[in-house]
Amino acid sequence: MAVKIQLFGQLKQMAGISELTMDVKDTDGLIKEIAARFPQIEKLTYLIAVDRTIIQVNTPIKAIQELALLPPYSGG
Amino acid sequence: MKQKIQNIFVKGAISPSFITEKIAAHQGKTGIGGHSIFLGQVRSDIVENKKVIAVDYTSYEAMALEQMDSIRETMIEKYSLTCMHVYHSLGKIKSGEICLFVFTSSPHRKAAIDACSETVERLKAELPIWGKEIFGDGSFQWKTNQPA
Repeated sequence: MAVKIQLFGQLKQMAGISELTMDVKDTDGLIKEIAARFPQIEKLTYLIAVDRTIIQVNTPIKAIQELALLPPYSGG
Repeated sequence: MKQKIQNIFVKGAISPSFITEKIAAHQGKTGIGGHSIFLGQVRSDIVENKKVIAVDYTSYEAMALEQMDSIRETMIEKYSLTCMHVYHSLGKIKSGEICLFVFTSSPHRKAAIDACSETVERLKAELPIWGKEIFGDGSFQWKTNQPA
């Protein structure tokens, strides 16, 4: 199912886009797709936020969810 | 009582006059005995002979506001604060300018000081905010936060 994914910080800069749509069923699938589509960000670490909460384990993705890829924070 | 989510983001640098206005706004709250304030300033680091002239801040704002609201609620409860305010800049902030303003108030000093310090540490670790350090020649690098 197609979901919208937001990119931030260095990920956004290196991918060259702030948002994309992908057809994935869970977050493990998302990680694989991202690596295939953006080899330039393969070495970057990032967290995945599903509905504004960081997930730690593979999580099913439903169409209504808000997805975001977050590189290490550096606010303040 | 649950208060509404406060917007912490300020476009551009936080001005000294904004800070003094916020302090003055608390004169009517006479139960307060101590304020603690932390101000973050953009530092002009030198990296490989290049000088940082500004930091460009961006955020996943919706998530950052939710996270900050949760930290705020925890701090108010844990330290019995009278009030607490946090402001963080977005956009390009020149070195020497203020980009973070944390302001805690309580009847006695220790609670205000401890809450201010803990809030600064937590927001640096937990809020989805990114800083891009811009050098004088137009090149940049992504900021990484120091442990303290």
